[in-house]
Amino acid sequence: MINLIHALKNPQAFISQAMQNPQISNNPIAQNAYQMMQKGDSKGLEQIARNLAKQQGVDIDTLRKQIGI
Amino acid sequence: MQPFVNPNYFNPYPMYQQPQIQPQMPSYAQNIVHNGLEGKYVGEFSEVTANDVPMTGQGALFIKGDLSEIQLRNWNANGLIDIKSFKPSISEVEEVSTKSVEHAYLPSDELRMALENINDRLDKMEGLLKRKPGRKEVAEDD
Repeated sequence: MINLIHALKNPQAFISQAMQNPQISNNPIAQNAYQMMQKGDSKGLEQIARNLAKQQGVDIDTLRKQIGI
Repeated sequence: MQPFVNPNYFNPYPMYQQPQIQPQMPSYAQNIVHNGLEGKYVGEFSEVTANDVPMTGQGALFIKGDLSEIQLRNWNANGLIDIKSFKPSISEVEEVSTKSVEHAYLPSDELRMALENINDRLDKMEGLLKRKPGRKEVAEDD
């Protein structure tokens, strides 16, 4: 819970700290997403999120419609 | 019919429930971790879910129950799962080896030509040898 509050206060610092965790830093998706975040590539980040959802059998567009976003 | 239990009744001897330990039977689709390699046996590859593939950067091996195919699945940097499929090729190897052995016993064109030449010459020599006694016979008759 405390971690979540810290993350909301300064998400960039939280992610930078998280990237020092070997379990996360060894993850190719996290590495790519982190690099995209540093470059400000929001479209690339969205694509990663879409791909991850697709692999789990979730279509983001359908989900957005269901939620009403 | 269940016996009536009065909730207000104070039981001085509380019943202790013994935790029931269920023996864990190894299931067919149990994950295997061997020397850092993750994976499991599957009946069909459609049984494999995204959660079965670790996000550690290493892939997981999925082996078909009949050993007809092995798949290596790993997450790529774009958030998609890459699949590499491996199939046995034992029968093909055997076929090639038999062919190569057969081919080794077949004479080459040059060798075949040389053999034909030798056979022709042998036939000619045989013909000559057959003719000679005939002539003698003719001469004797004369």
